[in-house]
Amino acid sequence: MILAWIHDVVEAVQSCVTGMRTTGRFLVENLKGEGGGAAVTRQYPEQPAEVVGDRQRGHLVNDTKRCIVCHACDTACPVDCFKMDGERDADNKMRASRFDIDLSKCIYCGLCVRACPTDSLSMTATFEMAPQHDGKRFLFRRNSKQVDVRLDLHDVERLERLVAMPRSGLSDADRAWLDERIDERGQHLIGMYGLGYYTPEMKAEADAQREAKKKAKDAAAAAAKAKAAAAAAAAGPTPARPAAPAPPSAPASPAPTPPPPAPKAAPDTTGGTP
Amino acid sequence: MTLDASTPNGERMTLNMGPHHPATHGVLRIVVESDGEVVATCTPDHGYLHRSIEKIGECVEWPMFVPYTDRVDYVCAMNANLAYCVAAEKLLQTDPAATFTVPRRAECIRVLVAELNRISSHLVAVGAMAMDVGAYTPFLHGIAQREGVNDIFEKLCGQRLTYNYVTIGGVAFDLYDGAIDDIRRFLDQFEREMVRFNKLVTTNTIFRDRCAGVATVSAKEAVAWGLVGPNLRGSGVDFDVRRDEPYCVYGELGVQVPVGQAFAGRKGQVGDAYDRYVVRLLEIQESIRLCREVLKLLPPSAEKPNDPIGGIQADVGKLLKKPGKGEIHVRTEAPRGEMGYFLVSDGTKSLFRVRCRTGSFTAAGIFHHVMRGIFLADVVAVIGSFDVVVPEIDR
Amino acid sequence: MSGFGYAVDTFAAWLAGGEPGWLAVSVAVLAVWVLPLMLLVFPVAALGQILERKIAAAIQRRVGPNSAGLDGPLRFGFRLMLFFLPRERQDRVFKAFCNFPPVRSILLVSRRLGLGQLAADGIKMLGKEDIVPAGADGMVFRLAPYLALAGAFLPFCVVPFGQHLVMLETEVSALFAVAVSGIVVVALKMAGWGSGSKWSLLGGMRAVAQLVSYEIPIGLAVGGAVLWSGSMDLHAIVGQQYEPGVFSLLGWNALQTPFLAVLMVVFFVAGLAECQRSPFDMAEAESELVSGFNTEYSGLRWGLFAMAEYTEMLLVGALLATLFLGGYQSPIGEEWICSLAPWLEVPIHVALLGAKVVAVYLLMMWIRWTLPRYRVDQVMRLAWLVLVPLCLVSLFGIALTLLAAGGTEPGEPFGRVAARPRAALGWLGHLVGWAIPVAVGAWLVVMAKKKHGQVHPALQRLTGGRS
Repeated sequence: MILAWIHDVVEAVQSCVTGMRTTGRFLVENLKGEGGGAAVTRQYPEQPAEVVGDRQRGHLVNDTKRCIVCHACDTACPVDCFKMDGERDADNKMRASRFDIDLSKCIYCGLCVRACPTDSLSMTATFEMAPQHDGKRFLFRRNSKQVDVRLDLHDVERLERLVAMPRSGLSDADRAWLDERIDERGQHLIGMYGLGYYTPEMKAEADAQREAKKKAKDAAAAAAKAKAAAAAAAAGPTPARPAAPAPPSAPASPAPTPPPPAPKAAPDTTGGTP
Repeated sequence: MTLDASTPNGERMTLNMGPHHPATHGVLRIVVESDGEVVATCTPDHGYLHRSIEKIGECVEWPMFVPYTDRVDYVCAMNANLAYCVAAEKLLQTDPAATFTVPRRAECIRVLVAELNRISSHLVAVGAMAMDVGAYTPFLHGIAQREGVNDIFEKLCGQRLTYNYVTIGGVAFDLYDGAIDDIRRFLDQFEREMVRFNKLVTTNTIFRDRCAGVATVSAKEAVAWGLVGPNLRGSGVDFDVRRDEPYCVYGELGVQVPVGQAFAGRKGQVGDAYDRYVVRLLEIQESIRLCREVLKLLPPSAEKPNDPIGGIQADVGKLLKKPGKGEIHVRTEAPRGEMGYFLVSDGTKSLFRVRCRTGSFTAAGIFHHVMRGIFLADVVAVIGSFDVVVPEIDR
Repeated sequence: MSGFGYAVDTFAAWLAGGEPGWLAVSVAVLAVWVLPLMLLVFPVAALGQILERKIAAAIQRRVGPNSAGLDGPLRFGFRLMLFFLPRERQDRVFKAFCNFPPVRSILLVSRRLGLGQLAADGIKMLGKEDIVPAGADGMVFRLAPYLALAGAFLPFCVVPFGQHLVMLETEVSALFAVAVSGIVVVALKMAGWGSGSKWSLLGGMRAVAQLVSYEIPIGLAVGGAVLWSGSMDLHAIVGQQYEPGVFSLLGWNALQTPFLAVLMVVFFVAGLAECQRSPFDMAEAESELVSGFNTEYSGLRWGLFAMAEYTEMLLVGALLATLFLGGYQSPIGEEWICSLAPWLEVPIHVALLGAKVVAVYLLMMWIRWTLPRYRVDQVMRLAWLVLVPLCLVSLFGIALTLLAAGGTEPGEPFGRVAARPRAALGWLGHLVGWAIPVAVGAWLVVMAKKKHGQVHPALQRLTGGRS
């Protein structure tokens, strides 16, 4: 029994010393910066994230020039994050008049990319989709391997150059170009709405159309409801007082329910001609 | 080791461990009734992470469910993918019209990624268990090693956690250029690092004494409670789906199955927490060997993706549009034990019923049985030793 | 009369302008004893937290604090100093000062070491809401952190920092140190009980059980050193370890007999337990008890607990050095230091003690990031079934050695004489005194290994051995 006790004590001391030798070696390797104990921390904001491989499944983009609106991606998508409308162009080819990817729904599974017959959908290496604010404006971080999906490279360069210049030094054309891409809060509109953006007028127009459609639908529904209610009231034997107060969405009230605001976080990627 | 938790006046303290507790690995809630430090009863409370994944599987089409299997067990998403895809293929093959076979290269790649993912999953398991008993350094080193696997997977399929790599009928991408070198290099340095890891924590007597003799599950109990995987083998039951019901190319690899043998010596018993822990480490070693073996079997890549030898994806598109009727249960060996999928097809594009059998669920089921009369401090060690991953319990 | 006592009396007399009253004496004590001691101990304890984070990071493949430098505090200092200038001018001066090459490199190093974290953490803690939970016993809850800090700090009063640098002279200072540090037990119990949280309660209970148990091995280990020295006065114990000549290292207690060396290890282990450090951090055990007795504490009160922990680590280091490692004495000859002018001698002695303390401190941190945590019953078993028997055997061995040497007699507090047992034993006696216990111990270890040393082949394979 005494021997067992001694063995326990000695073994404990030995294993602790072994462990401490191991951690001591980790420490030395860490200080030297090489070997199995070297620090693996990446100083992220200062040191850009490393993107390994060329099969990155980051920000999903659609090259609307190639898209034929076949809905293959829509069919393959497990979370229904696509909204698209198509139209025939002058050559009688289908092209997207609207192509929204709800990136707040997207789970980056890549099934749509595998399904796409024209390779117009692709997943880029961009994963840093939160804009940074440097006090004046929102900026999107890019690193060497990441593609900025919201603009082509030429546009990005132009934008960065123009934003850096004092506003008074810009030419009229440049200022107009810049204004088109910056909303009143100073955010890059382009950044919010993805590749193939709406110009503000086009966006307003599209929104108005959508709203009108919705309003018409709501109005029709409300009318049908009112009609049904009226029929019910007429059929009712007591004309004194309806059992329930009249539905507030009677045709008399002009705007039954305001249309839900477009989700801000969802960048609509729209293939239109700027 | 079981302690008596009966107090003279029957006074007990109820402790809510979780859902947010440093040691419950996610949102697992455990209601512990204790007499001071000694646990009298222990009731796991599940459901905080329930996302109706099985129900979703009945609403989406067959291949669309694969990304959801990533989320069933995000620590070993490759194995989860594989389990579903193998089951779906078996179900498709029950249809006499089905003539496809999964290309051999795809099968080899599947085994390769499954074993790599087993390594990374076990690394999290053993590291987290060490952290639960108070050693923080091994966990960080395990996670750092796991990054090596993640890098390989990121190059392979573009993601680091939810891979969606295995598809019904094959795999999504072929190996990238230099993948084999990457994997060989990783395995070599990983094997060296694991020796240091084991010196640091596995053979440490404090760690060993913490786990030895705690929450012992006998072989009979393990089978009766439906334990699977390393938890079952830790109790000394020699069963492994990879060896006993081989799928993919496991049959040709000769899988060696480590079982619990009271590794803690005279202080331990077969089936205690330490055995389960050591079985995981031995499985890591076995996985390293299997990866090397399967790289030898890997046939060269072919031009055509549906080539039966060198291809990566069988033609199943038409079958998936109009699958036959039938039902099947197929089990595969995931790091947390058997992951079985029970699929019922009614001939439509989406499955009629998806049922997922996972290892963590049964492991959580035995908690209240083994966590009686142990110390409060052991509760976390036992959770760690069963390696439960909460989303797998709740689905 | 030590330098400090004299300084207090003079200062008090000067304050009172004659015979000092109690107020003047209190002020003098505060100014001459407590303030310098706090200034010495607390910054080191605070720096310890940064050091610990850096060491933990280095062991865990991380970087640790590496951004907060001294720039911020420095800029703040400039703002205060140059309050009469407009802000731009202040900044310009500050920038010019920072670009001065030596300053720049110092700032860079401080940033890499994360020294600014000291200020940042302090300010953060001050700024946090001071929460007293609804179910808490407010008074007890609020008082506990101060008591913990007091318990950790008070024993420093009897630690000799130099030849005439001991703040409280008593005949029984070893006992005083052990006894006063017992206040921490009460503080932790108060924190655990007063928080009104079950986790805290469990933590407090564990703390009490553990601390009370480990008082025994600590007491016995101190007793060994006291037995050897023949005095309970820490200053006398240090003086007794004096050895003339260059090899003054040989006078240290730890090298006298193997039994004292064992007692030193026991004292260190029990000291780890006394300051709730890993592997004995059951009382706060993050993974089990969330944070144990300080679960409900926030802000400054939590900071005081952290401070108490680090202060207590320093205390264990200081006592260990004093009892077993020659205290403030240098390992390579002591006369040349004593022959220096007092303004040189005192800092050298304090620094020597500091170096020994920091060595123990680092060892504790190293251990913390290596070892897992013991379980409650194992902690108790270690105390009562391992450390106490070891202590008893060692005490017996010391007593035997002393018998062989013809007994001991109290050393003079400032006597600087080679103590009697050492002189009586001579080098041959020392050799025999080492050889016999080591031989017996080695034989027992070999026997034990032979009987119980089998390791499972699978474990051998895992650790890289051939099976």
